[in-house]
Amino acid sequence: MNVVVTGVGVVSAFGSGLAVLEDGLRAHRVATRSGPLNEALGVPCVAEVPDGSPGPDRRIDFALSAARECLASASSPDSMLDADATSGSAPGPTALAAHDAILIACGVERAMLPAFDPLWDGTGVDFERAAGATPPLLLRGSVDAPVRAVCEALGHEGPAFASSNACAGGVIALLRAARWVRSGRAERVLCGAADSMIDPMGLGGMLRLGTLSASGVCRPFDARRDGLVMGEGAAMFLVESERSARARGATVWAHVLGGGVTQDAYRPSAPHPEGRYAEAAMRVALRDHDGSSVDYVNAHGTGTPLNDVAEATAIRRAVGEAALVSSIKGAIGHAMAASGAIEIAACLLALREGLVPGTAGLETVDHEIGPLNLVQAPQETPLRRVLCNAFGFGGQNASVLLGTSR
Amino acid sequence: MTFIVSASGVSVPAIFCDGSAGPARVAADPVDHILRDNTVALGRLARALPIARDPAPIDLPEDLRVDGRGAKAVSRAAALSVAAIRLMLQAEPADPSAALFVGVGASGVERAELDRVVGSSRVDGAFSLPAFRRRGLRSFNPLRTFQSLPSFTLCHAAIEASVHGPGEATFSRGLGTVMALADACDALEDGAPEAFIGGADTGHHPITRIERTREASVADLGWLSEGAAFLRLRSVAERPIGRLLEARLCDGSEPVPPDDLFVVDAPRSTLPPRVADVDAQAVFGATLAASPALAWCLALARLDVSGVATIRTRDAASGAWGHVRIERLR
Repeated sequence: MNVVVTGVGVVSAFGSGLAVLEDGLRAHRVATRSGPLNEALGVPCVAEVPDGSPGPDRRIDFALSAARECLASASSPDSMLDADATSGSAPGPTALAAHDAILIACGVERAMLPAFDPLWDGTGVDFERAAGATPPLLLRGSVDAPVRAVCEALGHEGPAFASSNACAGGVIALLRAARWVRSGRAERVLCGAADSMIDPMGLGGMLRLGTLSASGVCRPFDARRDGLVMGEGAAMFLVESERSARARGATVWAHVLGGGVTQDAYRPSAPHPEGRYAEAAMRVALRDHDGSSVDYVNAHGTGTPLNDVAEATAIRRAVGEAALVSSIKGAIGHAMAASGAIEIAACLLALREGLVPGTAGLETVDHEIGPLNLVQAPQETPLRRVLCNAFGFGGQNASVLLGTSR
Repeated sequence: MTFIVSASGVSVPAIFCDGSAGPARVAADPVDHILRDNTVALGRLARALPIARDPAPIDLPEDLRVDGRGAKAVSRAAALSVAAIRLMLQAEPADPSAALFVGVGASGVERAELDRVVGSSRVDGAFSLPAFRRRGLRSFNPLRTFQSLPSFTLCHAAIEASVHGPGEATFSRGLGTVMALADACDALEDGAPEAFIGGADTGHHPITRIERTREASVADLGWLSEGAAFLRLRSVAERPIGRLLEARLCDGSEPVPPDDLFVVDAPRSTLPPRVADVDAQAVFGATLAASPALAWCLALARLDVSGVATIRTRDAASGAWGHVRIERLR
């Protein structure tokens, strides 16, 4: 069964909406900036969503915004999707049917450190005080809070799940959705990812782990790369069978041509140095296609010393040296669980508009990277097959092959 | 869809901790443990555990324990996951291309770590960002960050088993673990030589206890517990202990097949009309993401020599039901 993507919605550091992402990538802008939180923690900058929710759990607002845009873009004259209902602030219950499913990769819980204030007893946190607190204290944002919020907003009572696959989550969610459609487990799946770790514990934890760029510039594949810049956001997709999409006259954004998920099973804190299982994920995604048929690879490209060398090696082995390669993390930061999903959205733009995003921050390619057709500034060229990589902290690797046709 | 449930040795490789008084006891073969012990007494002890009290350390046997530097990076749920996988692999190592699917729950750093961060980040009785930067962050062992990542319950298990095939963690609330079982079957159909599928979770983190107490009535809550369990699935196996017949979502009103055993994994107030032969949560307590996997293992153990069991799991968030049927082969 052919599985296709028929809707897309995005929230990124450029702002809300796919058109905003397209404008930013086309103009080769960098959305990183400095704000009160990162300055207070001594982190040079972050890639925050502008005008993002001041609420305690920004992931929820990002997920809702991306879901609404996705369903609105997926509507069609014959569609069961209610475009009017989904484009407003309160989507109606007709947005998804009972046999449709929701699957969102959600990252980690959000620790609400100030909420512990009334629980401090001088020596430690007294949780008994929280048990009876009125109103209830929100000590952490649950992993699946975005899923529950989207279900409530859409009036969806069908299957709905959250996954937790670190930075590989967005790509894994799309592949899992495609699998559910192929197996008949769901008619359509609203899938994607939403995440934000731009909070004291999230940003502080990454700072302590030494993964953040000290220079404040994310430079994927560059000789001076020194780490990632923390981002946030969401992207959602509607995935269904090609037959279902054609029957309702929906616009097909891309075919899901293949996908691979593997695990390094190497170390909790470092990728496999030769990218052996990242390569394996790409090879599985390309199982029915020749590596040389890939026109463009949207790399995970975090700008960390270890990832970029391993990934470059893996791309060269699985795809070859001819395909165009770029990373958009220099522009919008690393949106953690949402990163793969936002980058899939960039791949959909690449397929539809022929827009190959540039690699912001890349000036001098590190000699350790080796031969690779890296794209520094945006290019316009027709594309038929694109590969999107997303690798997770802890060793999860995911690659999806998207195309304009089978 | 029929896949063979293959386990090394004669026991179902799951672990279960009662977490009540003293160090939590671990049963390498939980079903025998449960059958031997007085489950009612276990339940009473665990129910009495106050929210404010720290959970007892898991007293894992030495050969199942994560020691040294690794222990700092392993959450309680991940430690249970690693122990269950280690038990499973004692007789036969995993195929390196095996798939691994895990239902996971909320995470959370250890309370002592939280006390250090919160305590050292306060100025004039309130959280202070500058103090957090100066003292709070420095009091925090960066390795503990890994405890806060739910996906590491999967990753630590993958490292333990040295498996490089497809791997996915689903935030469970019950039904997610059932979907993970269906996904594991997809992986086998897609060519994985074997698949490990299970769940690992703890209800003993103080914040989890507060949240669950708030979300559920006392009747619903039962007693919070913890554990981990995995099934090992293959298309063919030399010594199969069972055959997986179905794993899917179902309507709560759907009739239960007239099988030999009906196991329900659900809060008490939501038990279905047909009286179950076994109430898994009365046996194990609410082990959250691990609950369905423990229920599957319980079903396999309760069937004597052969027979078919239906196991129904109710999702804690949506109230939807998952339906699994397993045939015992020996």
